[in-house]
Formats: sequence, structure tokens, C-alpha cells
Amino acid sequence: MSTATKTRPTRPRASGYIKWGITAAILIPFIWGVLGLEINPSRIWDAIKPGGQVWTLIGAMFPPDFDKVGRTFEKILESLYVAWIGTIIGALFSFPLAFLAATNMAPRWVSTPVRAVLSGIRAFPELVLAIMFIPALGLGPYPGALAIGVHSIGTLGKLSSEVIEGIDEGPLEAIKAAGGTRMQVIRMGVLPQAMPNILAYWIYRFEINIRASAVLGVIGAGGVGNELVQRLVRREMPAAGTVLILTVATVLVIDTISGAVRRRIVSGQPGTGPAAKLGSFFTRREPVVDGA
Amino acid sequence: MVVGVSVVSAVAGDVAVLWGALLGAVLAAGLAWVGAARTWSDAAILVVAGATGLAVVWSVLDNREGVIDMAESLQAAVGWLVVGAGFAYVLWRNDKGLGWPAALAAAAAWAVAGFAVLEWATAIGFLNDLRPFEVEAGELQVLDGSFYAWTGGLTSSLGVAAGFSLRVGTPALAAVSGALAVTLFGANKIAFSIGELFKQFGRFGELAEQFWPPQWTWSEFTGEAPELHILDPMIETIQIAVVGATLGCLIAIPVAFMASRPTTYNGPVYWLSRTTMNVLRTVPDLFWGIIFVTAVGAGSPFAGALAMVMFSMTIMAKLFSETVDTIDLGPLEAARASGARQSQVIQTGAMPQVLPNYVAYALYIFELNIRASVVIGLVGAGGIGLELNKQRSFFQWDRVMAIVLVIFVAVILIELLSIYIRRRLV
Repeated sequence: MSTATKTRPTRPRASGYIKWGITAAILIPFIWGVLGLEINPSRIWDAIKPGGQVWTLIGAMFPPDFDKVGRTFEKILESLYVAWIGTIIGALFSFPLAFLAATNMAPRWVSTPVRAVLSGIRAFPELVLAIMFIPALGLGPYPGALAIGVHSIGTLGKLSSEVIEGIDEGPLEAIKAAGGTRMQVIRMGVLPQAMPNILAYWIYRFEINIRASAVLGVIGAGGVGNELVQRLVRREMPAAGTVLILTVATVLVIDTISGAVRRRIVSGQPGTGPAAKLGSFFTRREPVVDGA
Repeated sequence: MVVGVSVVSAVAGDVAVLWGALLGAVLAAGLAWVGAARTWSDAAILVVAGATGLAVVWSVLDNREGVIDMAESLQAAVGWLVVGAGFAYVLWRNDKGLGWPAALAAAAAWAVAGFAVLEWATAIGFLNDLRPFEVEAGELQVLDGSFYAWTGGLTSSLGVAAGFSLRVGTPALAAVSGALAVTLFGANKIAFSIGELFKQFGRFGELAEQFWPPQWTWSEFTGEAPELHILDPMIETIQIAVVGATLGCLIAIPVAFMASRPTTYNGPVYWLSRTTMNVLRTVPDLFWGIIFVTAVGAGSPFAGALAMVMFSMTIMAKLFSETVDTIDLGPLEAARASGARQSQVIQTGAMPQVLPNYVAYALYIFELNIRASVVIGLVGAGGIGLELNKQRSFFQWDRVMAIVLVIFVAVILIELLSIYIRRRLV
């Protein structure tokens, strides 16, 4: 934008028609919902006022019962395993599918159906998949991991194929011109460009899957969700507090670490956060001298 | 279909050979990757060695119960020696410079690792404690292959690390072996096994008959005429999502401005709001549902709406505050210079810059809310999830199928609507 032609900007004027339209589009469904759910201010106030229902519950959870830390931690680990296995399944299967779904790697007649399959998989939430797997595979973490894995294939497949579609075609042409085979084009041309982002998506998916696997516990697919429900059903509030605190702490720690790792992978530069500092301690290299 | 299932289960009967072939194929791919295997015969050697070796290991471990003794560990190690020998031979024949001592060392590393891991696993009682959860007899037997996959997998990763590091020494290799070891350890802990999936394959066909065709109408009480019980809860779910998204996004506006540098110079306010949001965001959606259901009573959609408010608020505050962080500071300065109060600065300087993003995020959060409010219903927070959970606990799979289809259609429709609105707005 050149500064020479800059004049005072005119205020964009939204017509009253549009303004009212948008307000109505927000307000009418909201009022419909509020009436349908029988929500009124006094109910909300009862729940959140000082000493109200929510605070009573939180008060009952504190101080947490730290006798249950060992057991809770075991359950959290189980959730982490479920998330990890799910992510690995998703990564392994989505990787080849992403190449088949990318329009610059596969012909149209391949990429279109593969894309359709991926979005079909994606439309089923993990929970619904788990409900269908549990009768076949029994209760426990196994169907949970499978459900998360299948759902991850859909999401990772889409994201990875978008990364592959966004790469620079130049190196690919250079390799082809030098007589490279199809595999060599992928190995030397596509992967060095796409892999950092794909890897970052895998790690990001792991973060999401941790939450998903905690949730799956509620329907009996193992992990920490089941633990929380059991504690609350038995009214063991301090123990439930322990579960909540430990879960939040674990997720927070893993999010921080994997966030730093992702930034490092994508930018190629170490970040500045605490986790990045810890990481750079392990991966420290001699500084590269320019022009050496 | 039936033929396919029986073929798969027949092959899965001797799952060790499958695993071995798979291991060999992975090794071949890995060696080809680093340029240490060049021909198809290399790959064939590795696949055959893998299949043979694991068949030997399997013959030792098959149907084992209790402690595995030293002799059996040694026999299993022979199996690993076969795999390792194949691996080492391919390394050697492609790179004569490597020297046979190195190749032999790689093979020995495999065998020693296989033996050591088995011994160690037995010593800590790992193999005796393979069933992490109780199963009914005959219902679902945890395949013995899971411990076998675990021992084999760890040895593989050790062996691969040992063999490869003779050729290429990179940190990536350590990362891959580490990831492999974690995967196999985790898979064992949660009793995950591919062999089991093949074994249970037939049951999916059986189940499909129970799931299909979907039953759309049923009677709640005996003697009642069958009715459609899906639509009203689905509408309730949508209402929960609407109310939760609207309130959550509204509350998120001041929170986001507080948690963002351009609009909040006050250090404590900034850090406190930011930290609170970061902590609250780690709570999964369903946990909000459980908490509010416990607090305000089960079966009420009110609890669901409150949970959705928290869920939407935390995500919106994050997305929105990140947008506010990147705004152009000029208009804010101009507003301040002309004597505006903080609220006026935000209203005139910041809001016009971020409003389009805000609307886009709000629609996105509404989409998320639809899915999440289905989920929280399962813990008693109202809506279609409640109905889904009820029918699921009665094993009425045909009704479950009908509910799932309704959810599916509703989610897709709302996504399409939201995409349409977003396109119109932007």
C-alpha cells in the first residue's frame, strides 16, 4: 500500500438492515434455547453465587485426597497410552493415505475417493466409534485406542495431504529431471519439505487425543474419565478433586512440552520457553560457522 | 464378506509369521531408506528371516502360562538370532566395508537383547500380569501375542538401534527407537494387539446385524404406541449448544481483552487471566459436564448448558486473545491520544480490527459445541447423549444406530450451514 494516495478512511457503514439481521440471528436462537432449557437468572445465580452449588462442589473437593495419587496416576498413564497408540495408528495409516489424497501426488481418480473416505471417517466422533467398538472388543482401553486411532486417520490424513499440496514443486522437478524415480522424488523432494509440518501435526494430534482418551473413559473405554465418574458417583469428592488436579497438571505439562517441540520442529529454531531450554540442553550442537 | 473374514482369521491363527514378515518388511524399508539394502532379494531375506525367527520365538512362548524359565528364554533368543543374522547379512552384503565383526555384533545384539528382555520381563513379573483389566472367561482373551509383541518389539528397537548405529549415527534414530519402545510398552499396557483385531473380525459382522437396520421408533413403556424418541433430545442438544456458545463467546470478550498485551498493561491482571485460562482450557469437555451434573443435578440440560459455557469460553478466550495480540497498535494509540478511556480504546481501536475474526471463531465454536454437547449428554447433562447412553446400556444397538445416524446428519447439516454463513460474512 502506497502512502502517497492515503486519505482519511471512510467509516464503513453497515446498513441497519444487516445490523438488525445479525442481532436477530444471534438473539432468536439464543432465546429459543433459553426457553427450551428452562434457564432463568435465578437458576444460574443459584449455581454460581458464592456458596452456590458449584462452589459447594469445589469446596467438597478440597483439600484433595492425596492417598489416591498412585491409583489416579496409573489411570492417567492408561489414558496417555491410549492417546499414544491412537496417535501412532493415525500417523501410520494417514501417512500413505495423505500422499494418495494430495492432488499433486496422485491422479484425480485416486485422490477424490481417498479424500471422500477421509472426510467420512472424520465425521464420526471418537466417542461414537468407541460405542461401536466396545461390543465387539469388550470394555477396556483397547477399543478406545482403536476409536481414537481411526478418527485420527481422518483428521491427520486431511491435514497431512494439505501440507503435501502446499509444497514447492521446484525440487520435485529437479529430481525428475535428474532421472529420479517416483520414490526418490518423494524421499528427496517431498519429505524434506512436508515432514516438519506433518510431524508437528502428529504431535498436536497427540495433545488432542489425550483429552479424547480421558473422555472415552466415561463410557468404559479405560483411562482417567472412568475414574472421575466413579469417584463422583460414590460421592468421594476429595478423591475426585485429586483426579481433576492430576489430570489438569498432566495435560498442562504435556501441552507445554509438545508445544515447544512443535515450534522447534516447524521453525527449525529453538524457542525461548522453559521446555525449549530443557530441550536445547539435550540437543545442543556446536555452532555452525558461516562459510566454513 | 464371510470368505474374507475366514481367510483373515485363518492367517491370523499363526500370527507370529505375520508379525515376523511385517518386522522384516519394516527392517527392509528402513535399510533401503539409509541405503543399506538395495535389491528385492535383500527385502526377501529380511522378510524370511523375520518370519522364521518370530515363528521360533512363538513356538517357545505360545500358550505359555506362568514363569518362563532360563532354557525357554535361550530358545527364544535363538529365534531373535535368526532375525538378527538376516539383518546383519543384508548389512554386510551391501557394505563390505562394514566388516563381518560389526555384522556379527549386530546379530549378537539382537539375540542378547531378546534374551535379556525376556528374562527381565519375567523377573519383574511382567508377563504374569498381562491382563490390565478383568475380562469374562471366553468373552475376550487377551492374546498372548501382546507380550510377545512387547518383548519382540523392544528387542527389535534395540537391535535396530544397535545395527543402524553402526551405519548412521543420528539422534533421529534414537527418537524412532524410543517411540517404538513406548508404543509397544503402551500397547501391552492397554492390551492392544493387531492379532486380537483379526481374531475379533468376525464379530464385527455379527454385530452389524444387530446394528442394522436402525430402529427409528420405539415405545418407552410396554403397551405404549411406538414413537420417535430421537428428535426432541436432538433439539435439546442443539439448544444446549446455542446457549453455551452464545454465553461462552460473550463472556470470552472481556476475558480475552484482559489476557492480551495490547489492551492490558496491568501485569497482574494479564498474568492472572492468562494463567487461569490456560489451566481451565486443559479440562476436557466431558469433565465440565460431569462437574456441573454433580453440582446442579443429573438429567438436566441446564448442567449441560453451563458445561458448554465453560467449554466455549475457554477456547474462545484463547483464540480471541491470540488475535488481539496481533492487532495494529496504531488505532489504539490514536484513541488513547485523543483522551479515550480504556473501554473506549477497546471499543473504537481494537474491536473493529478483530470483529471479523471473532464472528468466524464464534461459528467454529458453535460447531465444536454441537459435537461436545452430544458427548456431555452421556454423563447425564441432557440432550441426545442422554438418550444414546440409555439405549446403549440396554444393548439396543438398532436404536443406537438410529441415534448415531441422526447425530451424523445433524452435525453435517450444521457444519454446512456454518460454512455457508462464514462464506457470506467474509
